[in-house]
Amino acid sequence: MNNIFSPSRFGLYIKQYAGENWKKLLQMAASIFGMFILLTTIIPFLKGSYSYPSDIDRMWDFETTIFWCLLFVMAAATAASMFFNMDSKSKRISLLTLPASNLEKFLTVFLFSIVGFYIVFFAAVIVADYARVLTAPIYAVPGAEIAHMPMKYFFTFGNLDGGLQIPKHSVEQVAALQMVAFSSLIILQAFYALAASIWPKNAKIRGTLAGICIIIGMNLMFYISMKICFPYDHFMPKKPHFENLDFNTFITINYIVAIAITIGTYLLTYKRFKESESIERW
Amino acid sequence: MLNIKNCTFNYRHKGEPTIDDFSLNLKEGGVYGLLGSNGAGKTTLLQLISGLLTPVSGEVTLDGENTRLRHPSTLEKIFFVPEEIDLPPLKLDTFINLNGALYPKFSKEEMYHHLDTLGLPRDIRLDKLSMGQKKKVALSFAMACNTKILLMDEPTNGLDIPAKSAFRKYVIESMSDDRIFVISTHQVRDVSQILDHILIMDKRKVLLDRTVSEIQDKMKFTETVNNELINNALYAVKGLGGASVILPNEDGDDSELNIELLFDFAISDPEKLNSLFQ
Repeated sequence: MNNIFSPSRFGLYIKQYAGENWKKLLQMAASIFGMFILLTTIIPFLKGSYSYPSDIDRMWDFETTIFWCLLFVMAAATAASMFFNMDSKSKRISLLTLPASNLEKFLTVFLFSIVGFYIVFFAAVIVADYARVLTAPIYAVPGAEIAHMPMKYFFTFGNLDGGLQIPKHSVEQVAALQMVAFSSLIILQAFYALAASIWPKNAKIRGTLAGICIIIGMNLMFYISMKICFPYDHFMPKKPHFENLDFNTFITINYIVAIAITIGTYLLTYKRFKESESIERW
Repeated sequence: MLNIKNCTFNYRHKGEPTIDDFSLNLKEGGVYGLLGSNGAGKTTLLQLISGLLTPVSGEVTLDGENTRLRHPSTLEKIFFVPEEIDLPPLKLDTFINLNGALYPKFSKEEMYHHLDTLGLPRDIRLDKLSMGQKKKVALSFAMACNTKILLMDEPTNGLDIPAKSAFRKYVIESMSDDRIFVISTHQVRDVSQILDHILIMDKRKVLLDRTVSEIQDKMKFTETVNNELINNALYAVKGLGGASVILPNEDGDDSELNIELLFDFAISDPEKLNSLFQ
């Protein structure tokens, strides 16, 4: 028998997981859809975004900003709830004694809470955008532009080509922004997943506190070591080491580092999950 | 064979171990009654066997495989029924279809048969059940999984009288030479008729590990008012109208096993008890 991974057993376990937790998963998805629809239908009315004629849809920038913020918050929140089916002793016993491998169990929660999140999120973005376009004509003045936000607008932080609009950022700026956003997003998600494996009940709060402590600690360490190494306040060498790197290489290296940190964190999460017991050790 | 080898377990990293250098072998074909005082480590032992806890040292193996690794090949041979049951908010049928599929020997017909015997209707929602009814569902499911090892922690707690009787019937009917049942309980009267092996433990060692027939061969359990018998008994507990006593079984007669009395004897003087079997 394959004790690490069997596709048929994995399929049965996914079915079991989805069958037992569909209500909770549906609640999470519905709350994302509900919140987005509410935001895109109420906010433009309250802001008066369509109360005077315009050439471009004034809500695109708002949607871009709010959805990027929500992407981070919700990615962290869903990752922190990754092990919600282990938040009590009896649930842990049921889960840990089911005859599927640790890898199959972990991959299942990963698929639903990490990969599944993006599917739900972007579906909700599209539906909420449609809801805005459908409802805005009710209160918009004649001549106000109401249009769907292209997904490219979202991914390029408001840049569009094709002559619709003057670009807000240069190509390099967009690439750098995308790199920072993508890297922080996947690392944040992995960090909260790790927190969920340590504290299945309170990962949001404890994970956030731990994150704050880690950031403060790392900054302090950096500050102190710099003070020791460069006592006359010459913190950084005059020429940064990466000055000779071309832009694309710099971006690629950053992506590689971010992906490596993310994979490392998920491996730690898996290790922690594998070592789970019927009791919570922390 | 289920082998517990020099297991030590701590709930806290520092402090006194709950189970200390504990060893035990459980052979196929036995219904083991696991007895011990509160805090002796019975539930801990069951969870160590199921791979739900990690021993500080030592290991538990089933057919040579470490149960702590929680390999599917081991998990499909072990079913653990905890004392407190929490079932998902599903219809019974859905629960059976989703979970039964993961156990290769699961039988839906058996599950329905056990539910009928325990007096539960089939068209029920699991989250609407009382504690006792949840226990009935969990026990029926555990039985229908037909796993090699069935570990039950206080299985009769919360069951009504007909269900206790149905439970005993099931254990007798489904026991076979290749299975091991372990019943941890304080309600010894509920299960005394079905046990064929008595295990009495404290956290450090097994105080008694004998078959019921071995115990009955060596000891006679009776009630008496005869002071001479009381004074010469291996163990006696005086009551209002006489005393419950354990006497050496010199004439080879079988007497009904009084597990509570045997337990008290094992706790108070384990060396004397075990010397009978030397």
